[in-house]
Amino acid sequence: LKEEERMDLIYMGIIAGFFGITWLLVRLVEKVK
Amino acid sequence: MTANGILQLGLYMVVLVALIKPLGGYMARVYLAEPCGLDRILGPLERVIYRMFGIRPEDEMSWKAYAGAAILFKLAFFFLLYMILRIQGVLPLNPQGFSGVAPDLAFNTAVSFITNTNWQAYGGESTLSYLSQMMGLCVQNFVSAAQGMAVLVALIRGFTRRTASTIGNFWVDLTRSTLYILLPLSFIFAVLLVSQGVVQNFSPYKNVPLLQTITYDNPKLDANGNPVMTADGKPIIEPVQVVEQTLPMGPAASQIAIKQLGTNGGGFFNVNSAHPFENPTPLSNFLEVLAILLIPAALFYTFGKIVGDKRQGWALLAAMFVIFIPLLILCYSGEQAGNPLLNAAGVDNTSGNLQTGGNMEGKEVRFGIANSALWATATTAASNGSVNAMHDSFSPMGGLVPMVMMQLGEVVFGGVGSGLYGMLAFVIVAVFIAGLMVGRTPEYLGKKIEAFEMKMASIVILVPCCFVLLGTAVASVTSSGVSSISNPGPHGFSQMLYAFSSMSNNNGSAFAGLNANTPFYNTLGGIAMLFGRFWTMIPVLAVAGSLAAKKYVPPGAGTLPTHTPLFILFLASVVIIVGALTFFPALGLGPIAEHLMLHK
Repeated sequence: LKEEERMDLIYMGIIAGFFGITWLLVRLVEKVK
Repeated sequence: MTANGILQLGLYMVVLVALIKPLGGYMARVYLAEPCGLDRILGPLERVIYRMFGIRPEDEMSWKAYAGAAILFKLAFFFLLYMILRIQGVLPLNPQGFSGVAPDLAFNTAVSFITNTNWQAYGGESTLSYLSQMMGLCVQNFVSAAQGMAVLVALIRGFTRRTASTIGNFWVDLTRSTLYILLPLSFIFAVLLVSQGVVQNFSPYKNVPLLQTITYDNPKLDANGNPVMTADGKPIIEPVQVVEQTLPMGPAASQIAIKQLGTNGGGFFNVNSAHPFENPTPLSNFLEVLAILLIPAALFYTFGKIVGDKRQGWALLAAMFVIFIPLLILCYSGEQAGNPLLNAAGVDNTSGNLQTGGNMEGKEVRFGIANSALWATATTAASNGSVNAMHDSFSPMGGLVPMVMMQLGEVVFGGVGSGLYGMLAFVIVAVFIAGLMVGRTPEYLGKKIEAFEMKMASIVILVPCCFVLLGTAVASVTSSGVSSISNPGPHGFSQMLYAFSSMSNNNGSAFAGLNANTPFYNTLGGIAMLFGRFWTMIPVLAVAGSLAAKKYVPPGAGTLPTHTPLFILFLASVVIIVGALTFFPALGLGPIAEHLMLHK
C-alpha cells in the first residue's frame, strides 16, 4: 500500500472505531439506570 | 466604548429580540405538524422525499433507534465527504484544477463538517473545488444543523410526553427542519447577500491588473528554491514588482447564508467573513451577525410554545442574555481600550471623528471595533465559528471572551438545537442542586429529575471540558503541538487552548496564528470534535427517552418555579461556576497572564 492509502485506512479505522464505541455506549446506557 | 458603537449593539439586540417570536412560533408549528404557511408548496416535496427513502412518518422511534439513526446518518456522510475531498481532482466543477485533499486534512475537514464544527485547517479558495464546497461542505451545513434541531425536538418531546416509549421519528424531524426552516431562510438570506455584492458564480478565478503597482524586496532564489548568497554570506535581494491580483470566485452566497443560519461557520474563503467577497458591506455584516443568533434565540420561544408554557422559554433566554451581555461589554471595552504599550509610546488611540481608536489590528475598517467585538462574542456564544476579524489580534481580555464563551459549553445561545439541549442539561443540574439546597423535589416541567438524568447531564457537560483540557495538555508537552504556535509565552498557550476549546465544543472559530494543518492537530482535533458532538448528543437522547417514559407530576407546593428571576440568575450562576471552576487555571496561564504582562 502507498503511504496515502495506508493513511486512508487508518482514518477509516478511527471513524469506524469511534462510532462502534459510541453504539456500544448507547447499548450500555440503560444499565447506568 | 463609543456612543456610536453602543447604538449599533443596541439596534442589533432590538432586531434580534423582535424576530424571536415570529420565527419561534413558525418553528413550533413546523414541529407540531400544524399549518405553517409553506405546507402547500413544500408539503408535496416532503411526501416525495419520504416515499423516495422509504420513510413512514407515522412510525415513532425509541431513543435508541433515534440515536442509531443519527449515528448511521453521520457515518454515511463522513465516508461520502471524505471521498469527495480525496478525489476532487478528478471530479467536475474544479476550474482551478485543485488536486485531492491529503488524508489527514480530509479526515479533519469531514469530521469538522459532519459535527457542525466547521473548524477549517485549509484555505477554501486555495484548496477546495466548487463541487467540494457545494456537494460536500454546503450539504453538511444543512444536515448537521438539522440534526441538532432534530435532537432538540426529541428532547422537548421527552418533557411533553407521558409514559411514552418513543420520542419521534429522526428522519421526519431532519426533513422538516431542513425543508421548512433552513432552506427557505437560507434562500432569502442568500439573495440578500448577493444584493450586497457577495459572489455567486462558477467562474474561474480572475486575474485583474492592480490600480497601483506594488514593489517589494525578495531574496533571490536558485533552481532548488534556496536563497542565493553573496560572497560574505548575505542573501541577494532583488526587487519584485506585482502588477496583477488573482480574485477568487465561486458559489459563495448560497454557502454563507446557511453557514450563518445553521451556526456552522465554515467560510467559503480563508479569512471567512472578513473577506470582501464574503461580507462586503456594513449591511451584509449586520445581516450575517444577525443570522448567527437568529435560530438559536428563536428556538427558546419554540421550546416554550411546545411545552405549553412560554415563560419557560423566555426564562432560559433571559439566562443567556445575563451571560451574553456582560461578556460582550468586556470584549468591546477591551478592544476599544487599545494597547497600553502603544498609548505609552505616544500613539493616539482615542476614538474621534477621524479614527475609530482602540485596537484595530486584525479588524476590517468597514466594520470597526463594535461590530468586530459583537461578531466575536456572538459567533463563539452560538457555536458558529465564523469570524469577521482575527481573534489572535484581539487584546488579552478581548480574546478571553470568545474563549470563555466556547468553554462554557456552547450553551449561551449555542448551536441550532445543540445550544438549547446543552442548556437544558444545565437546567437539569440546576434544578437538582436547587432541590437539594431547599429540600424540594427536583422537577422540571412536570417531570421528576432523578439520578439517571443527572448522570447523563453530567456527561453532556463534562465530555467537552475533558477534551479541551486534555487536548491542550497534550499539545503543550509535545513538539508536534508546540511547533505550530507562532508566539512564545502565554499567547502561544492561548493559541493551543483556543484551538481545543473551539474543536471540542464544536465551535470551529480559529484564533489564527496557529498552524493547524498538521497531522497532529488534524487527527487529535478530529477525535475531539467527534467526542464533543456525539458524546453529548447521545446522553441527551437518553434523557429524552427516560423523561418521555415518566409520569407527569402536577405542580404542587413543593415545586420549584423555573420561570422566576431567581431561577434565571441561579441557572446563569451554575453555568458560570462550572465553566470558571473548570477553565480558570488554564485561562490564568493564557490570556490572564498576558493581560497582566501587558499592564505591569
